[in-house]
Amino acid sequence: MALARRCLTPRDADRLIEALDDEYEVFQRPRVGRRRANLWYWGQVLRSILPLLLSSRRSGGGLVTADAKQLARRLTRSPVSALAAVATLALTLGVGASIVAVADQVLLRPPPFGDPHELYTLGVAPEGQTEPVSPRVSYGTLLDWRERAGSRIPLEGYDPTSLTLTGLQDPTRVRANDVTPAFFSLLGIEPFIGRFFTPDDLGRPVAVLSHSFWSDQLGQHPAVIGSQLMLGGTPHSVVGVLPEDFAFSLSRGEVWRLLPAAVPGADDEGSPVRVLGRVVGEPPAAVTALLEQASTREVERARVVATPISVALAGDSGRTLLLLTSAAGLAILIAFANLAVLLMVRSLDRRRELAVREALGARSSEAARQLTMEAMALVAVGLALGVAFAVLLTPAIAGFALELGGIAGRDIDVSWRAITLLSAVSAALGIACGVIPTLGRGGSRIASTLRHGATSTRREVAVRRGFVSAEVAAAFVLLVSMGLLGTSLRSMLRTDPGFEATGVLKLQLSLPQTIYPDQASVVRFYRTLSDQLEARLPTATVGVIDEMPLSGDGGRSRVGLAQGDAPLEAVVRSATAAYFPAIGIPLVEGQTFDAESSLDDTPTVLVTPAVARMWGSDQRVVGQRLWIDELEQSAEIVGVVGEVKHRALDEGEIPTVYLSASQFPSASSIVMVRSALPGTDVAARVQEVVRRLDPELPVYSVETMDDVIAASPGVPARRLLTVTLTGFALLATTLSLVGLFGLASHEVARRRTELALRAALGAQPLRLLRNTLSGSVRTVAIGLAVGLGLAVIAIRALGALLIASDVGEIALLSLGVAILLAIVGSAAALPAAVRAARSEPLTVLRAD
Amino acid sequence: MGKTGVLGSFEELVLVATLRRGDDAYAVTIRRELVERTGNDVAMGAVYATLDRLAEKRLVTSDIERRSGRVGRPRRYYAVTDAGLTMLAETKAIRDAMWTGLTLKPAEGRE
Repeated sequence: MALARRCLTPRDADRLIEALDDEYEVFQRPRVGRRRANLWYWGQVLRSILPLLLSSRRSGGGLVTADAKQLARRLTRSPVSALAAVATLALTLGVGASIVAVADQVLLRPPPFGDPHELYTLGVAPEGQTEPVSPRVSYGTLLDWRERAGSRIPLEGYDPTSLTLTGLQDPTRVRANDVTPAFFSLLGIEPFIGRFFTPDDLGRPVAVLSHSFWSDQLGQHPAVIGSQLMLGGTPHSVVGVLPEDFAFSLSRGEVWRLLPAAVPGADDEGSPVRVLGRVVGEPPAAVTALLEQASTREVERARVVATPISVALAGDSGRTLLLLTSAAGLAILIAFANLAVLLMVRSLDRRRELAVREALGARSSEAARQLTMEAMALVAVGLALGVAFAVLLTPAIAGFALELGGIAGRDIDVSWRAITLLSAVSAALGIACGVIPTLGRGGSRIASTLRHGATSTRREVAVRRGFVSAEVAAAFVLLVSMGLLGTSLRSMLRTDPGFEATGVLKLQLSLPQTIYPDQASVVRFYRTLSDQLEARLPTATVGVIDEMPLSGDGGRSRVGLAQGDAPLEAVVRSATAAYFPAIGIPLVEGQTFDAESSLDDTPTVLVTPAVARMWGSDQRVVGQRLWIDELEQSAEIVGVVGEVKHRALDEGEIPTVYLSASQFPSASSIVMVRSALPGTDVAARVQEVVRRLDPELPVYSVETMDDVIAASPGVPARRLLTVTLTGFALLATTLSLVGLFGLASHEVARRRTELALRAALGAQPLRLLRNTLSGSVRTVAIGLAVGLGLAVIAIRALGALLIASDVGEIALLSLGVAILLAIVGSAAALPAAVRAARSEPLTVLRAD
Repeated sequence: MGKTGVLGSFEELVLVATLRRGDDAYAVTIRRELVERTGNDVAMGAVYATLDRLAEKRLVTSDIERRSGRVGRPRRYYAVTDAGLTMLAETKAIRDAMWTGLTLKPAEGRE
């Protein structure tokens, strides 16, 4: 009997047992005797369970439809709160899905290489540093390493460059990589068509194309293999096309050529190269230790640093994405906490109804089932909307991710993996939201509910308070993180980059060596260009430099007072005299270059104060001679100019030496135009002038310097994080305020008899008000205490993204946020508290 | 909903048993009728499940009737509806048509 009751619905169990009892007494026992009748009875019970179970499950369809109808009725009864819950879920799940999709693609997908876990990038760092200062080494170092490593550890090199493509349409610049012959076989990939490089190709102009270049520029021409492309003024023979899913995001390239330095007899061991190695069956540390035995040619006593290629590919974006994922996870949890609170309130409204039904024999699990269905319905709608939202949002987030570290290179869409993951998480949390509100109810609840009406038990109030406290905690963490990130973003953007960005347009030119074979022709070209531009753009200033600020701090040399006494490592640039007024770098002392100086004159340089300090404050720097290792000669200092940021806004001072572009011209240069005209007009006129001077020469990378600052390292990541965290923080704050408001209202409703009695016994209204408020303040306080603990973890995770945030500043901000939350939290509870204070004993007691 | 067009063989038996019991057709007596006529000890649960299904298909109706003098829960009495009668008639017609002109002899010389 107990078995039947356990397995069957009460109705089925009752009728079965009654019928069997009936048959047993009336028919079986009189005929077959007690023992056989007993056996018959138990046989009947056992054989009846399955058909009845199946039958009740089948007719369960009816129950489910009834539930669905009820569900629809209930949801439409108070649509505003249901809509708010759905909107919150949709928003957080949508953002979450996008972030997870991007993180999945960037951090979790293995790169499209053969056995990618064996691939490492190898760089050098001065002793005591773990991050490679520069991933570049000289080709000679690569040769030394190869000799040391032998054939066990294949090492290959690549060098990012860009080339002018002519002969197809207008001349364009294409991104290219020069690689050693076995580069592609090291990556473990096969060509889509044709072949990759062989050592026999060295010295011959051959090229491998990316699949996208073949598609976009050549329309997937089938006869591409063997065809000729004009690259950098030289015809190159195409030998192969890369597979479609191949992306080398360490250095994306459309065209791949052989490294000129790898040609036997090239005598170019100083040219830069980045190194990849495949390490099989031994720890990378052993490999780096082995390579360290080979002297690196750049830095004395350098350490060799091996980075797994997946880490190198993710770059700085890894941490940003992890932070974003955590923030999104927190927001999703808040949305579900909100849902749980909503369901608790709703279950409370129906408490009497459910109690009556239970008293009439409905199973006690029915309440949980109803709530779970309600939760799942809301979650399903929220999830569907969220996925739709994520489809729209993902390209934007992926775009940011791309800016962060040049990652991806593949299209990022909301993946089924992300959707499946979030659906599973949502389903689990949805069920929890349905079940948790029913957990807090005690045993003798039916009677007490019917007697006292819809109030919640102490335990239920505690659970609900816990949820609201959690929301407050999340709001606190997000607000503090947002505040700190926002502050560091603002202080970063306020940092003086060393130049006046506004009104400056930057564009790039690269003169092919075949047409501009010597320095004189390069100097002549840029001089003519500057003159003609200034003529076409009145009031404009036009300057030329080889590398612009915020584009990297490569190109260094040791400098000093004399040969053999060169203690300082300085960034060396080559600029025209007009570059400094054009970009707005102030002249501190002396004068700029003589515009008329020629290649044969004694070299002159401008230095920044960090270089000038070598002479001490009492000495006049202008007129001194500066030894420059790279030039292997001294140059005369003619002036001192302001420092600029070379790599990122948050970097320290880097000593800089400017050579005169008239004496050390660079074929590939950046033209800076300061003009009052709009950027597009300036760009159009520059294009026009360049086309007149050389119709084959492309103008590329046209940008305002403001955009350059906005995209400089560290800024997009902080901006993305600040924007996302601000959104989440506002959401969390709003939801915790709504939670506090609801909690206080409910508390006052629950205690209305008690409050009325107190008022009747002469309690002061102010005292009742304070009494009610103190509950809310306690909830906020618990949330803040938990939030403080979480904030410590969050701040540690944000780490280096926070600039110059000392402990005092963080404490001050946290205190501010805590006070703010306490004030607005109390304000949210105030309406209920006022209601409590105005308790009218007679009305309340009469109503009871 | 469901496949009202087809009558399962046990459903057919339960319907016939209900018809046979007339005014005294409730689960216990219907089962007893089945046991007596078929010689198989039918599970009570199977009878309930089948009656539920037939009621869902509107082939039987049920009524709770209190009889004076009886203690305990009121019994649920079943009656075959017009639809149930039609369905039974159709099932019987199909069955008869299938059997017409067919005699069953034990197969000889075959395994």
